[in-house]
Amino acid sequence: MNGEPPVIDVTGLTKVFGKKTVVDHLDMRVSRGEIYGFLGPNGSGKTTFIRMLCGLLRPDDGQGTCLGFDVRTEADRIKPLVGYMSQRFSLYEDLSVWENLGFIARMYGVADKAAAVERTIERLRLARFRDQLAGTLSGGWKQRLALAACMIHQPRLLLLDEPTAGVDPMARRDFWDEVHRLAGEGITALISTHYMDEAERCHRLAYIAYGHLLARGTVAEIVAGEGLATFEIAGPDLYGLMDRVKALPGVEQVVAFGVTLHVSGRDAAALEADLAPLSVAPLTVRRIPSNLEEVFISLMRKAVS
Amino acid sequence: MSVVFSFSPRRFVAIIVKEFVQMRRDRVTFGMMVGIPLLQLVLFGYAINSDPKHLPTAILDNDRSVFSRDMAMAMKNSLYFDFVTPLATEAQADEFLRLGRVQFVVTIPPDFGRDLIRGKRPAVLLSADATDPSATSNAVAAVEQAVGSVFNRDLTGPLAPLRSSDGPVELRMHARFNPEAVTQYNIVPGLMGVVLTMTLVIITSLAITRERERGTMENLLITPVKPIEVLLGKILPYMVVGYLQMVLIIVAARILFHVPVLGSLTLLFLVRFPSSWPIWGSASPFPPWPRTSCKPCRWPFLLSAVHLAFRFHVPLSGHARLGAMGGVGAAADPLSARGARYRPQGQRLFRHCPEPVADLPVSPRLARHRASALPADPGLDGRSRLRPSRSDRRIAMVSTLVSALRFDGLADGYDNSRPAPPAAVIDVLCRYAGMARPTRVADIGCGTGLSTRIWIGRAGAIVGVEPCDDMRRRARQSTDAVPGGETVRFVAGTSAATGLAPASVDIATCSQSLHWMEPEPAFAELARILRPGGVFAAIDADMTPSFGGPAEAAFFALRRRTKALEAQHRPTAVRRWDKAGHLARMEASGRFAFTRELLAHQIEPGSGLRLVGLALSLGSLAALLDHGLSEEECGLADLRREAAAMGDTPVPFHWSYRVRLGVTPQA
Repeated sequence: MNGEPPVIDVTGLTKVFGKKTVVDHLDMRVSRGEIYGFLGPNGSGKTTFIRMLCGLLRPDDGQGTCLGFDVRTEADRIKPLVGYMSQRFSLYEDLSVWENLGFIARMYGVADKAAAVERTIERLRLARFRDQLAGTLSGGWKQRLALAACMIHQPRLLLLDEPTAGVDPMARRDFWDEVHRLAGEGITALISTHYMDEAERCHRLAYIAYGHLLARGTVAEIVAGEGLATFEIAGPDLYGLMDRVKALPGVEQVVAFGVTLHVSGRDAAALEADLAPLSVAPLTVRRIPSNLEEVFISLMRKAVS
Repeated sequence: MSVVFSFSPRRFVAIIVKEFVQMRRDRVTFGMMVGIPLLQLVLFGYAINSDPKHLPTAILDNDRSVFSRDMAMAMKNSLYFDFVTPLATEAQADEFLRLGRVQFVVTIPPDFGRDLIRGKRPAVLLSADATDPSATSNAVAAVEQAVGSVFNRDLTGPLAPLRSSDGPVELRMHARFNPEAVTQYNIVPGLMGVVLTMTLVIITSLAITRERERGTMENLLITPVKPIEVLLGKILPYMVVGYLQMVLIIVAARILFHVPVLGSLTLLFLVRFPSSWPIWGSASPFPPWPRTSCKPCRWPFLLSAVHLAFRFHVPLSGHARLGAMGGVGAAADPLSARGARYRPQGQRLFRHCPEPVADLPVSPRLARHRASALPADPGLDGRSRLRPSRSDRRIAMVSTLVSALRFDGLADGYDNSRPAPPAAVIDVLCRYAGMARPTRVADIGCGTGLSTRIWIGRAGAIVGVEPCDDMRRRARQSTDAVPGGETVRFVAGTSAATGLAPASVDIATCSQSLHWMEPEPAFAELARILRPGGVFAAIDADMTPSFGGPAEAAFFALRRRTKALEAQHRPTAVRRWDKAGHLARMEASGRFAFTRELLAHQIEPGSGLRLVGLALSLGSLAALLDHGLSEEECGLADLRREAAAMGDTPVPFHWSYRVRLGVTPQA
């Protein structure tokens, strides 16, 4: 995007656990200030990849830099500049919000601990929970506290591993607003998620499955790249229709969306022809743009087959 | 809706099945189910022993006789005692006990063997480190047993009466550091071990496990923190807690159980630091090591810690005692070892052997016996065990040795007062032996060599056999002063084991000594060393020289008196065989082809002084005096008076001798 060197620049990163190759020669470049979405099914290697970037795991193959430091040899120099948030809440439940933040601040050797904690509490609006034990916070506030903890030392890169899992939409929105604010300050974020709406809030995306990179780029680029055509069938009693539609030759996916069916296929013209006979009252058939979920399902099916 | 409250066997079974499936899946749990019992079995089975043996023991042997060694060996053979070191002084013994280098000190008083023979029930002192009373009780019981029975082997034949109901030896026990055997003194400080190892280890390892299970370890690892920082940071707080617990226990021990706290608390606190190693064990298998090995690594540490913690429950030999470290327990010991130290009471007439009998350079056979009873090094750590041989030979050896011990200290008076056999006896014996100058003559039980020296110039090789060192030393001295004395050899040996070669002797004599010897083994040994057609002669003087006058009557009176007193007081149980029965016993032994008795006579210059000396050389009188009777009671005072009245004028002493001789069969 600009002339600066990328924050993350790795090629061929590989991790093998026993006989299973969890991450298989993955390349990634992320520029400064970018919010990079990291998607993929469960067990696709997202967490392992993130852990390799921040020095918790040593790559078995491949090389590259994170914040300009070698991910294989300079984990000690990467760690102080990275804020990592694991899938699971990993702060001390028997410590108060203030105590947790204070502890993390000291772990990172933040110069003015009290000021840093106050600043972070202020910024994430945690003030009213200051003396509450972390274990008694609700899910959304726990996530907020975890985010606070991973940015207390003003990192240059945030590695957020499914940060919003199990959090209500309101809290997720707040969370993303915060991430965008940080990005505006020049902080880079690599965020793994399963939520499509969250993926769409990222600048760029990478989609991996079974350790392999399947697609990358902006949302539009990925959707366009897959070349999927989607039609919407609306009308009563669609359930009886589902099996019939699935049996049609050009149809790849049929998904029920409330009172409509979304039918996707690779060949738009053939699909339109196949669906034309169904377009009799009370049913209506019309073409709609493919969404990200349909594209990812399609990508995953290709990966499996 | 009664269904809700009813017990459903299907749900119950479903839970059971699920538990088993999970059990199988969790490899660590599965490993623990198999591994922990095994480990515990090994740890507890091998290391914990409620009947501890091989307790380190030191011996302070002031006697160094066969008996003191037998006693030590018997203790060693009970397996409860391992003699780690011989000690020289009581101060050293105290030091060893105090430092915990030994758990027991056995003190054997000087003259133990002699007093044993004299039936005085010498006292053996067993000082035990009683900080852990239960650890020592079995061992103490073992000593009592050993003391009661060890001498049964030796106290046979003539010495059998010494096996009185209360034992030939008195055992005195000193429970040091904890004379009242208060078990709290051991258990309460032991609790410190439990708390500091077990609870502390569990608390620490739980703290670490919790960190991992709650996922907070991940958060810690992503920070720039170093593993060593985590390790130290996690352990130190629990170390502090450990010290607080320690203070708590010490205060509670003091207030609730009145456990005395002696020595340096600072030192105790200091040494406690490295002893907390199990905590490190439980904590260390974390960041630097792969996660997979973490849990299996931890439980051996934990188990060993638990095992160590339990050490106070069951007595463990040789474990570190706080008392010994200068911590708790070294309570005041009002009785010092010296309190029980045996000192002979009563009159001492004769100097006993000037220096402790270092070792008797005895016959090869005896030497072998010794070697098996005692290694060359006085450390008593020889591998060989003394096997009780119940042979007559052994009994005879001991009883002769015992007789010899009776004469310990009598040598001086003996040499000057006793008569030497007349030269005529030599002529007669040579006739029976069929040679004018016998090649080799042996004098068995030669004492101070009075009867050995008469052979100087009359035989080729002359050898005196005598078990008592004091006597032998004296014999050597006196003989060296005589011309030709160097041709006489004195060897240590007994009537049952002379150490002489078979069929090597032409003439063997027992002068004034056969009545001390167990007949059968003695005759067997004589038959062995005599050549075919060799001559044995028992030469006995009537101990009452005739010279006329009131002193002779006083001497007779003294002998009658001592005989009566002996019967009354039994100062010694050493058996004597009557001289009149010698010939009959020689015949009965079947070792001789011809036996007879003959009489001889000798005149020696006598005096009042010699008469008193003669009286004092009598074993029976010496024993009575040593037993505590006065000179008056024994009639010695009367004799002294009459002897003094004789003045310095020499008087001829007429001695009568009875010679019982036997000739061994011709080949």
